[in-house]
Amino acid sequence: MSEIDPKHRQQIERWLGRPLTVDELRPAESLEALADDQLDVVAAIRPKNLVAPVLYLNFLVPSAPMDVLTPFIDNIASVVAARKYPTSNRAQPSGDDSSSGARSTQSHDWPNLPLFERYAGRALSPIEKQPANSLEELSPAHLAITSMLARQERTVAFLYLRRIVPSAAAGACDDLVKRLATSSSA
Amino acid sequence: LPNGVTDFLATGSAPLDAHGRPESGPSLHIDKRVGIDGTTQRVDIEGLGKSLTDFALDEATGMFEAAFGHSPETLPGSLIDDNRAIFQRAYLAEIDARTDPEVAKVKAAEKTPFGGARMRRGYKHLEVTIEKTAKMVIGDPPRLRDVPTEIKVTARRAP
Repeated sequence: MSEIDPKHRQQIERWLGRPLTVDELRPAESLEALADDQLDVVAAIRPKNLVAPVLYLNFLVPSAPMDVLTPFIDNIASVVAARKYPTSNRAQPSGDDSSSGARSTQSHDWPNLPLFERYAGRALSPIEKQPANSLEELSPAHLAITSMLARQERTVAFLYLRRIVPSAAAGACDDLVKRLATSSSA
Repeated sequence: LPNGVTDFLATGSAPLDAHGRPESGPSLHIDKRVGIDGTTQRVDIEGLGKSLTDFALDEATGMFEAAFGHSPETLPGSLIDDNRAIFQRAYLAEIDARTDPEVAKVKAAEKTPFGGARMRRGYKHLEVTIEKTAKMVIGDPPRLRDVPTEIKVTARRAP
């Protein structure tokens, strides 16, 4: 098995905030064959940096052409959601399917959804609308979209967090938004 | 970087056919964000005398020419992040002005940094494919629109 370029690995790990595991560095036959934890790595670093996930996936799936790789990385939150909530049993928390672009029939549960999607520049994926029990339990997809929103407008990111983690204190949400806005600002 | 770390700011590749010939010119991913001492910063490179995009395109086309003996016929890519947001606004403005959608998508692509950088290099003919759209609330005043979300652009040299 070939080794990943050490400098590429360092760049990926810096954005990830931890060393990659042996399993996360196991090459795959195709993008569809990537393991869940490998997808999670891409989802975690995509909002912070665009080059790092390309370097990572170029190593894991060297045969993947760029015109396939780019939308795959860009839609990684939806890819993760589709993996975790397959269509056959998609009785998920928010109950809609944003990946099709269809407006939710339950959007009254998400009065600010159009606002979030306006700032995101796309429809939110099901996993991005999945509630979390605490800020500590936010998924990489949650953090990714919160970072994206926070970079543009902290109030919008704050509203999103309050929707995802209703039990979280406003101050804690505000602190997290500030941190994400600062850490991702460019 | 000042902290001694090496960061790749751009990466690119060109697909090859079974005979090792390029199927298109190089497509690039560029990101000036780097992590320095726990914070994310956007870097400028002293001494380049041009934008990072222009530098990356110069390097990529130079490497392409060295490998294949000719300059690339096309410079393809997908519009994401800032380029996509600019495209979306420009496209909807054109549609609102009753521009034909086929014309609107080209005009919108021409207004993006992606399109501009390639047009400045002589790749002035932009072929735009809207792969996906989604219903989104957008514009001023905000309203529900069909908005392109996955956009591929192939910049081709003017004949």
